Amino acid sequence: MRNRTVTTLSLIVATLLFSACGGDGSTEKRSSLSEENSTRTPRENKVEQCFIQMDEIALEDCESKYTTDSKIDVCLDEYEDEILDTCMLEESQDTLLNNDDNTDIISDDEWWSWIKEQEENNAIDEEENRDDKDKSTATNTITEAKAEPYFKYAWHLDASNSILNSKGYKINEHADINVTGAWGITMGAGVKVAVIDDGADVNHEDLKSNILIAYNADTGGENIQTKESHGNTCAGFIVAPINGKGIVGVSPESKMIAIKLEDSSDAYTIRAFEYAKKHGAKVISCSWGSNNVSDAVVSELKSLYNAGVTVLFASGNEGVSLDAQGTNDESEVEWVIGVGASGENNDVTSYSNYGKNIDIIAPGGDTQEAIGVLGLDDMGESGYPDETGLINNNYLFANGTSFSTPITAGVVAMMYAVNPNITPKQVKEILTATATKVGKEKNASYDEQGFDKKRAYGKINAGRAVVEAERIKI
Amino acid sequence: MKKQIIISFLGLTLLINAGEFYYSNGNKVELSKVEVSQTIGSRMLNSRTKYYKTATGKSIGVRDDILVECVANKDCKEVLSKYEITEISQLTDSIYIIKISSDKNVFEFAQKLYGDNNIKIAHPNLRKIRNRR
Repeated sequence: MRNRTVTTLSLIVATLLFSACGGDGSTEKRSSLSEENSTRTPRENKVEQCFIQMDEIALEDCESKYTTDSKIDVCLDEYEDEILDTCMLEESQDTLLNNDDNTDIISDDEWWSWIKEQEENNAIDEEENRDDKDKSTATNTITEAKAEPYFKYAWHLDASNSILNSKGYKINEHADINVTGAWGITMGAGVKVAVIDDGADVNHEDLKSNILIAYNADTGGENIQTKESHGNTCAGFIVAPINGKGIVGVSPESKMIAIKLEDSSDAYTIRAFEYAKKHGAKVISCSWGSNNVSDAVVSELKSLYNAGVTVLFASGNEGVSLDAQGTNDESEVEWVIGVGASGENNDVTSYSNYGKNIDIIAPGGDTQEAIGVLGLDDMGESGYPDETGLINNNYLFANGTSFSTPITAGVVAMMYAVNPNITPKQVKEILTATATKVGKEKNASYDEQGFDKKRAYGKINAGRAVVEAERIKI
Repeated sequence: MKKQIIISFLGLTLLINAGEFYYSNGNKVELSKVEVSQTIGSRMLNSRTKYYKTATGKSIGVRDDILVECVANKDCKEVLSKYEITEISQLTDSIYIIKISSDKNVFEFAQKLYGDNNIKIAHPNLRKIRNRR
């Protein structure tokens, strides 16, 4: 059985790489790191292991690019800030190996001149934006969507017709989001959705035709290609097209603005949001968080809200309350929609973070108990081998609030498709008012406002939300 | 004499640490430097980033840049013109990023800006862990 998360997979690869390093994988440049072993704290050991690993990656990249020692040294120096940030800030090493596309790191001076250049370019031609709009026709039908090869495993879309139960997995027939109720009205045409994450596989067979823009917020370039991409999976849940391959996204006729963001600073985060807004995104899906959101980022989120852009954040996978003192997560910000995870059993998952400022839950799957939600993996050999025997390597079953969030973003995209003037406030009100109150047969306790501590306002109901969004159209 | 030296040293340490905070949502976020071993420290000698922990254990990094937002209807460039700033750039309609000279303390500078009635937000351009979920 292949039950795992993207993060877990990264950990496995990290472990393998550490083994490959044999504890001796430091580069010549960093050989002094082997000193002081006996006096280091566990955390310091962790940081140093991180240095070794990142040095290896940097060296491999620089040696592949340059042949002379002097150029390799310059290249390694350019990596240094990134390595320090990664190793000194990371609490765990499970994401380190996803940083293998940092080939375009820019110097401070270049960064500042780039910012100034962006200011000049910010006057985006609105006419061009309109021309970019999805020109796909409304000929795609629910029947065609259901004919996608792996639709039968996509319980988050249609649990009652999932054949996973016959394969030994336990899927509640109501665990889906009632997407077919929405697809009778729209499949999201004309709406641009941004995913801000670690990049995407822009050549993926089940994504490329719906990627409108690829933007690397770290470099200002277009290269967002990343191995073991978390963002790839997130994007697929929203816009995987109806094309006779693999799966289908929740809003398959929407277009994707895929933004790669790995720099850890607030300024880059804000820049990524600004880029999405200025290029016409009405929905921005973020499957990450810091538990420590800065005032400037909150201000930017409020600005997006006021500009009519709906931003969604994943609540996180620790199964804890975000109301605890000292927690100040992006998913709790008033101007965003905070999303937790529901599982195959049609109830909130045990790992889903919760709190009074989380708004909704949506399928995120629970590989501990079942199989997870079916999404995109890297294409071909870069993808992880399938262990279920159900799908090819271009796809994977995964779990996490990371995936509940784009699934919800897809629903929001369809709401914008039927009502382009809908406001983020209305989006949130409709999503929460039309949600399905799951878990009542268990210990759910929805209050007069319809809020349950762990389930928020319930599980999204795409059909009801889209109908309501259309109904309030002016 | 020895006691006096110790007290002076402690006082100096407190003074050094006293400046290391920023304001978030109107509240002080106190910081402590991340303690590192000699080898890690030596690696960080040339780093532009300094690393701290908040009281709740969250790691942050800071350099010599600060994010600023002025109160509504104020020309932020004009407000900032009275400060000794190396570079200023507009990130959004309302948010600016400024760079200060490396000999200035980024926290103290941000605190000074925050104390300006025309400025709503002023904190270092924080670097932090962004976890995928």
